[in-house]
Amino acid sequence: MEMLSARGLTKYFSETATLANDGVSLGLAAGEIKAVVGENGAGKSTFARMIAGLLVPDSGALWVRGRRLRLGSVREAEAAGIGYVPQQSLLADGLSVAENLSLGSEQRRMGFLFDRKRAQVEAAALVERFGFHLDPGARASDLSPPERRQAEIARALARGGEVLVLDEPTSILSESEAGSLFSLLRRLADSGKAVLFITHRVAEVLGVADSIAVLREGRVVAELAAGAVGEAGLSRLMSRSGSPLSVGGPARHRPESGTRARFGGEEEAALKVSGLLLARGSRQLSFSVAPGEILGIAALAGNGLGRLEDYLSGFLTPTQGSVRIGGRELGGIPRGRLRAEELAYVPADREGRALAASASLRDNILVLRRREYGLVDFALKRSLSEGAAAMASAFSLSTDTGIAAGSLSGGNRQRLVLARELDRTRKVAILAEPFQNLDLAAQESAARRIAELAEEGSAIVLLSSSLDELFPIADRIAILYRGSLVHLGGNEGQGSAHALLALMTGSAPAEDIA
Amino acid sequence: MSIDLAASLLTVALAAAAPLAVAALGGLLTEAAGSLSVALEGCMLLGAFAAAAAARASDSVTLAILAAIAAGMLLAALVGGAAGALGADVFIAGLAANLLAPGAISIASQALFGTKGVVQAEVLGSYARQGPLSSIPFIGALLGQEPLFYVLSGAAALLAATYSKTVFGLRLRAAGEGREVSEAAGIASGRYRFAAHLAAGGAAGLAGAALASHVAAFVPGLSAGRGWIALVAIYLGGKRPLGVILACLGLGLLIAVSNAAQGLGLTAELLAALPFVATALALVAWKRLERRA
Amino acid sequence: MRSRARSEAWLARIAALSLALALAAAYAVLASSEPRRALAAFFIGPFSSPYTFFALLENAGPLLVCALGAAIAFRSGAFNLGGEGQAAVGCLASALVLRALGPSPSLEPGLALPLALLGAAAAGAALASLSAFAESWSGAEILLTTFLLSQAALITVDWAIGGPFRDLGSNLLAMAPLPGQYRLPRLAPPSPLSLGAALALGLALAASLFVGRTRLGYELSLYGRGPGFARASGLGKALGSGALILSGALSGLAGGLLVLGQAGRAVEGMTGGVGWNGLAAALIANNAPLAAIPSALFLSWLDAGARQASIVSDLSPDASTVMKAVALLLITARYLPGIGTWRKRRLARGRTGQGAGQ
Repeated sequence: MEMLSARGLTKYFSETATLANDGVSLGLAAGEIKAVVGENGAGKSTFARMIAGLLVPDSGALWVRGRRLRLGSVREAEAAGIGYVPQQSLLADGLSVAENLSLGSEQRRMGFLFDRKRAQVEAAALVERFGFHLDPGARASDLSPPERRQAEIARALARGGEVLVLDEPTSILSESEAGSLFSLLRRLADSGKAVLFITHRVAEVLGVADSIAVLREGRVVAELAAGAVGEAGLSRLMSRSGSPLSVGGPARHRPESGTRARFGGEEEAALKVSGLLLARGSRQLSFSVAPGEILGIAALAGNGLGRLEDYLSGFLTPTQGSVRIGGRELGGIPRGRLRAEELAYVPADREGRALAASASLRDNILVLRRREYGLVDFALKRSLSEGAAAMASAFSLSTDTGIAAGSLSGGNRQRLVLARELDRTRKVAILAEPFQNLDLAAQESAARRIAELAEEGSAIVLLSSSLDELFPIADRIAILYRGSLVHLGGNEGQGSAHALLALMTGSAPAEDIA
Repeated sequence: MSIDLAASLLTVALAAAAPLAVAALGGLLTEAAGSLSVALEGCMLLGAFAAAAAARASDSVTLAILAAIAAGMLLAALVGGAAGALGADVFIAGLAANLLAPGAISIASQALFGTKGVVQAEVLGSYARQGPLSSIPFIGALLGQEPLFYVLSGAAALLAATYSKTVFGLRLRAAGEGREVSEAAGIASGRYRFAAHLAAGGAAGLAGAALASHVAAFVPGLSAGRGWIALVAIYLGGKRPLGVILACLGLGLLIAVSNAAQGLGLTAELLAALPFVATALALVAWKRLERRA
Repeated sequence: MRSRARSEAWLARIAALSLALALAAAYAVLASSEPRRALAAFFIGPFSSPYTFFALLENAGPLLVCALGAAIAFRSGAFNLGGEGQAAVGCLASALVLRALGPSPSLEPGLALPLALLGAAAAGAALASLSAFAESWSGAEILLTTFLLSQAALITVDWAIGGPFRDLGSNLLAMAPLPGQYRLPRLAPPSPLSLGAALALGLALAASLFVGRTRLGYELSLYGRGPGFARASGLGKALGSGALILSGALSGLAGGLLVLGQAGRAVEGMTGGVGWNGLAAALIANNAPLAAIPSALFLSWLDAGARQASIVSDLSPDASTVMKAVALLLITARYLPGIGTWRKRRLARGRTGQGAGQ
């Protein structure tokens, strides 16, 4: 039985002048798992959001279980049995799993009382029936990433989801966690649900999906049965140029090391971390980065990457161990000067630290250069505007620097932050998830710029949850697992991906690091 | 400390804590829904005036209490409406309500009673008379309180239960997690936030009626910062019903102690400042402990 | 785009103020037996004679200084809700400084007056610094501690003025009147307009230069954009504490102006809402020091108008309080009818547009 049928869905975004979906048609049967694959920016999420009713298509039609849906209505999509699981978790953190499952169609007593006990029982039954690994009584804020993902799926089921649409469900999961998620999806399909999941990771779809649709530049370029194509073939179909790319990550050219990377040499380390403790019970962390070197540190969510970012950027002062820049304790350098001259910092948390959404583009871009202006400057406003305009146009941002940074799209916000932080060579650069929200071209030029800064003598630390982002550019790669450094060695490229991923997920034993 | 003094402290502490707790638990609903309840002070004052006015007009304490609740809700509706439908800053709208209440009361009082000062309402006092068991130490603190105390306790229990036991409370808490989260669950967060404002306003109005009952009159400036102290109690209580109640009991005790300190030679005028200093110190100490934990 | 957003914000402000005025007019028409006279007194009364006009200006002085204080704190991202109490300690401090100099002027007024005003500012700053310190030591919310300490300060100051320092020879709960030399010079006798109003104007200009033309002022408004952003950008916490203390100093100074100006003595309850009105004036001015000048004049005009109207008719002088409240209630509204509709549509479009960044 055809559970879902999309016909000619089209969506144009005037803001970015992109045709995100160009007549996308897909069908999905009961019991089927279909993967929709494509590169970043191929229009996968747009497609999923239109099905979920979150976006109104410009044209096209949608049938769910034989009924034509009114487009752009979340309520109607839900009533028709579509269960959408967004990429970004939307659980209410303060509530328990059972409460989250029940929210919106609560179990009631006497009409207005919330029947917590029954909600628990029903949640437990659902968990039992589909083999989730979830405690219905746990608070959502205490869940691990894979548990969160499960809870989201359970919620979609609890709300009567028959057609599950999952947007990048594995983006924050390790390989083994993704594996158990997929066996859960298989059980759901076997019980008669239809599953559509979106991913840019080619490797993981091959063993799981019954059928695969390839999206490229907003169009379906191929619909294949499982087994009809291999990993290389799929990659070729996805990529714009038709040539295979390093999967999921942008192609970047790592300049030949040798001239640039000068490892070791304690006395010339620009950044020296010693004896840092990221979590109770973890091993102390020590490493140093030489001028001109790019060190990539990868870890999955919840393994101390955020904490390390806090220490390296000086947000937290370590109680054990130290972080030194050019031989001086980080906490001892006046912060204003530190940030203006010695430390570039791209935070992973975009909204709070990196940008002031309510401030203008001008203020956001000049905040680090403020010391270049006079203590008293009667032309301050004009010189600020000129300075900002010059920088904005150099980084091809909007030259109307008076607009609020919050009104920019996610990609442009990220470009603004990168423009500010990478505008000059500073002694050390701490870049956390620097490629987040960027399209392919912007990722490439950002990577080029980072390599350039290294050439000019910056010591660069890239923090990322994705190895794919590190391979093309890092000189060395380190892995954090549960707050401990479990690997530190030269970059051996994609070939080492499996071994490193095993370290990230803790399925391989930690290495001894001198 | 003598037993007598301890017992009378307890009685006063409970009596002072009850209106605080009602207002704070009302405010907790607003906080849970992701909004601020700055207007508690204004709602309290307006509630006190409405109680006195209604009591004079009807000679009925029940009507006076209902009027107080309605008045508090009305003012809160202005804040909730400005913040919700008009998109105004909820904090500033709340400040406006606190400014509006005394001004509007003064005009209304002049028009209705020909005075901007004290509005006597003897009948209100009948609810604020201590019961026959009040003379028994400690037991009397609980069982010998004025009838109003039990009305307030009931209201506090009702508000706490609304927070943690009802579908409404559950949805409020979901609404407080942000628009995207609540709408993913099919909950119109704006409507729940507005309802929370109304509930908080009604609760603060009731608390105001209690203050008026204690003096059997409306007196300008009667709320005297109690709404703000209730707001602090929400923070001190960790934004949970039980914690808020405990915080109010603690603050009630502080108020009782500062009243009792009058015997130690401090003048009455200066003593009025003590609850504010004590509340500020409690807040600072609490935040410090929280930070170290 | 930016200028449009800004003109929209001002349009919304003007709409809110007009609505408050319309409400006042409606109240006058409904409640007064002689609406025409009441309206005339309200709107034109304050301008009918030099005396009333200069009185309006004089009253706007302390209000403006308080507004500057509130605006500086707002710009740094902190709500200073203690302006009232800070002004009160300023009143007491300036009166005490001059009292200490003795009943017969022993010090040149040219020295004594600045000394008294300095004392007032220092007292306000000291009160605000308690909150700044509490915030950095424990994280206690500034808006709560400033309010609580201000309430305590108000009570304490009233006790001091009506108690230990009271002038027993007077029926008022007040300290002894200041000797003539220790009052701020009058600019247009017999009207109460004093040097204080000019001083306030000068401060507004200075604050405007500080905010718009100095690096520190620029850093201050950057700091106010959010604690995470400030810390990540290397803007130190001292900026925030400094702004709050400066804000307290300005409020305290306003208290000093009240004592040294029209009143000529410290009277119980003499701040009379100047802190709260200053806060309202700052909000109406969108925290721009220059815009605070018309904003303070507007509020002072409302007060004067309501007072005039209550003299000639049966209207209540509290009408001005209600009007200020209504203006404040709507001042930050983004969806006022008329302005709102197309704005909302634009916001909605912006929201769907964001879907592009997937």
